[in-house]
Amino acid sequence: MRPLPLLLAAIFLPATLACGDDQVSLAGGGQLRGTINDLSAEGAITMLPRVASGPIVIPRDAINMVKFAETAPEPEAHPSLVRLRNGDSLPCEVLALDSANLRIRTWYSGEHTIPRTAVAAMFLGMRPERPVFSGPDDLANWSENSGWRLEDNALVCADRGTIRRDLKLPENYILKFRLAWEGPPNIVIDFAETTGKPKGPDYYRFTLNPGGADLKRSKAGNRFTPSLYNSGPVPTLIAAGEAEFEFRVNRQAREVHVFIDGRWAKRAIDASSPELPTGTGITIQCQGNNQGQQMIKNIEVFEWDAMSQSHREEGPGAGNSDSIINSDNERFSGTLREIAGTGPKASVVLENPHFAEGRMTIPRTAVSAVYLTGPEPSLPEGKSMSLRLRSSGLLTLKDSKFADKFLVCEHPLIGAMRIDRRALDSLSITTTVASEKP
Amino acid sequence: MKRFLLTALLAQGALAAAPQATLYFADEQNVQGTPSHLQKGAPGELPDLVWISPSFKDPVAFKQAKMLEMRLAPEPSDPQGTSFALLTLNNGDSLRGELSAMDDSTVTLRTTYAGDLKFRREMVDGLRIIQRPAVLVAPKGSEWKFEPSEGAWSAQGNNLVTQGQGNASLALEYPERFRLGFDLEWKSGLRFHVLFLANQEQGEAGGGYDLYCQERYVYMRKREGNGAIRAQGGAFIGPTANLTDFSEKDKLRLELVADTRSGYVALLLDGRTVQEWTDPTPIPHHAASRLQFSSEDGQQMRVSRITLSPWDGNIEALSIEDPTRKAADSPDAQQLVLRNGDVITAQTLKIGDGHAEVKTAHGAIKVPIQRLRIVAMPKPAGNPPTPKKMLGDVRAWFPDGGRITFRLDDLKDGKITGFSQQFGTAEFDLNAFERIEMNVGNLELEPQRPKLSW
Repeated sequence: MRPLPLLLAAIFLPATLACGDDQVSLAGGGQLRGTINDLSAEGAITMLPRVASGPIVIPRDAINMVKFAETAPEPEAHPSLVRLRNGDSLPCEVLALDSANLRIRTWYSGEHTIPRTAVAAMFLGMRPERPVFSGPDDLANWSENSGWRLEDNALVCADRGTIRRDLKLPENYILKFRLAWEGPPNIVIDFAETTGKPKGPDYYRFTLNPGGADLKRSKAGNRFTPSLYNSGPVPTLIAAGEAEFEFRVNRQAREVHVFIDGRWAKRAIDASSPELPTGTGITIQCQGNNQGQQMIKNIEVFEWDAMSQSHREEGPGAGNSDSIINSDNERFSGTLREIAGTGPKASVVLENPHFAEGRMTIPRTAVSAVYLTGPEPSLPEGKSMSLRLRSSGLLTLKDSKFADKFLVCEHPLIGAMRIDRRALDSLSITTTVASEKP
Repeated sequence: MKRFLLTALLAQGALAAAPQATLYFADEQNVQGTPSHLQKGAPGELPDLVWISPSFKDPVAFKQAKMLEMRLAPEPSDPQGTSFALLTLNNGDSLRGELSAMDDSTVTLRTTYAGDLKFRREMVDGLRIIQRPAVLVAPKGSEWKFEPSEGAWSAQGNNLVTQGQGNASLALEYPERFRLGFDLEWKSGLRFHVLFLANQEQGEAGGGYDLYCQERYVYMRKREGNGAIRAQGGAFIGPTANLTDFSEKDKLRLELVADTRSGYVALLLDGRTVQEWTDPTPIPHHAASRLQFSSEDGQQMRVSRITLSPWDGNIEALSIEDPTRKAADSPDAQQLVLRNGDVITAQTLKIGDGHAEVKTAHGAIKVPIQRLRIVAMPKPAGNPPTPKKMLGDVRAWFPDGGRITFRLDDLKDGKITGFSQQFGTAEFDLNAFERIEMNVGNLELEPQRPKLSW
């Protein structure tokens, strides 16, 4: 049972974090921003809040979460992710694996040797989500504008208006944006539409109004498919006055994933035609509500490594053997003998009596995911800290403290670690308790 | 061994009982705890506020200049006496207290939270004599019953807030003649009804009068004990009133004035009578024990400053206009409006010992204070003195909606000391206030001030 990622996913961070500030969210309610000077071995934080006259000490029990300021860009993006048996994960470079140990290298914590029994999976050759668009930027880069204006990096419309742009949506993509509204929302966003004039008939139509959020696909003849996603009326969403929407589109798998405010809402299979809409543009329509402005901001497009994502979600499968999934979406089971070599000669060796010569050697560059069998680990009891890394990593730590520009800590499966402060995203307190079986 | 994880939310629950106040800063920062005292700040800066919280190992000194607001948990007061007044100051502030004295230079209000407050008479804009201050039915979550328990009504501080369809009801005792009032704010078209003089049916509100407020009209229906509409004389009590207040505004003070002996009910919006009804078979006040607010799906509303007070039955006085403006045209004159609607022009006026001694052109009159309704304050000649804005000014809000602005000079032992040109130096009980806005002269902080959530 590994509920840790879910617990952390439930923690929200304000979008308006002041640049350069660390932020402490207090267990008793409230939050402060400033500079964290120290983290003691007992877990107490010494902080200089911007609003206090001197440093303060916050005991570990009073801390809900610490969000670290982003002081410098990460020097390296690792191509692999190792998932441990306690649910932790580390972005890293995999150096080697044998029957006893996995060796990895990270820019933020150097090299580590991890017992093979502690490793649950490895995801190799991940492509980082390449940013394609971030906007809305200059209004002049948009077209067919009627009624929209740019205000504080947001497109704002007071009544009715339309605006278009080619966002260069890649093959598989993540499209996310933040909508805000005064009064009831009434906004329509068409994406994956052709950029010519007039636009083609095949695109996705996202609608937000007091009836809820809805996603349909447009077809020829001004017709639409049944809803791929429909939230139904959600008064709390409408009342919030703003929300972030994210669509992850995998054209090969014909899947559209919908997220609202960072929470996964639905994975929709678009089976209405063999191909998903191939257009790369977006049209934003404000349909007016006679009560106030509506706006869209933080529009972002990323290239989505949908296949790696899919492989990461596949899991170890049935049976008590290791598994390998390659980039052709094939899956093989057996005993993973080793990962060895460097560069183009690096390979993954899987043993299975059904293979010719009892083993199969696959170039490492062709391997997408590796799942290893092993015993369920025993989790340490008591309070621990969950450290989220900037690059999707998550570590459960004990006895953490700051030393110079590093977090010095003990990981229950990896051992002693010295983590570069630039890699830290957030730290939250988790309590693990044991109870008798019923 | 079965294992499970608990988040730090457990710790949050453990600490939640201790804090009594929340201190808000810019950039969405806030802390909970207890204000302790003021101490010397950095050179050239306002004093720091020392704050005690279980979140911090030691008391923390916060910079006053960085503060937006302090929200407190005020204790309800039950002032005694008969000569209560609503005093309005020339900076827009207002507060309630017992009118104990008035002479050529000062107006004295006796309060439960600061003793006698002596105001400079030329800085008093208006003085309205009120009946015994209404009992504030401040929403406290445990006293209200919410249906459904989540997703519609909830108590947030001294506000009832709803996001959807549901009811919020409360048990209370109705006087025979009463004045029930509350502030109502809404978004996107009002669809609201309030059930008053209702009775208790298996823990739920039943019977009573249901006042329906829609965007362009208001009407009242009478419910039988089982919740059904009474058929006698139709479902409606009296006519439907067409009005524009609900469509043109997004907040107002709504008051229901009722006499359970005669069946008379009047609706006042922002102090103006907009409709009257009479029920030929009134519901006796002793048969009623519940009040209920209801909202429809998708409706966002906030109800606050709910008050219930006895009413003297004076229907004519409900619609008497404030003569302040008229008095301002003849500054030498001072007019008094009595509860029966009489208007007296005073040459001199002195208040003390529960009476107003009025010298008129026709002779001297001695009137008990409780017989007064409005004392119009003549405007001083020339430029009226307005209080100077000072560094360290705070604006303190009472739970009844009143407020007072002063320079924060000291805070310790649950007391707050302030200075204003209007009343000099005074010491207030900190728990008399619902919130204290800090740095009110700093306009740059205005956009960041915490707003009440819907």
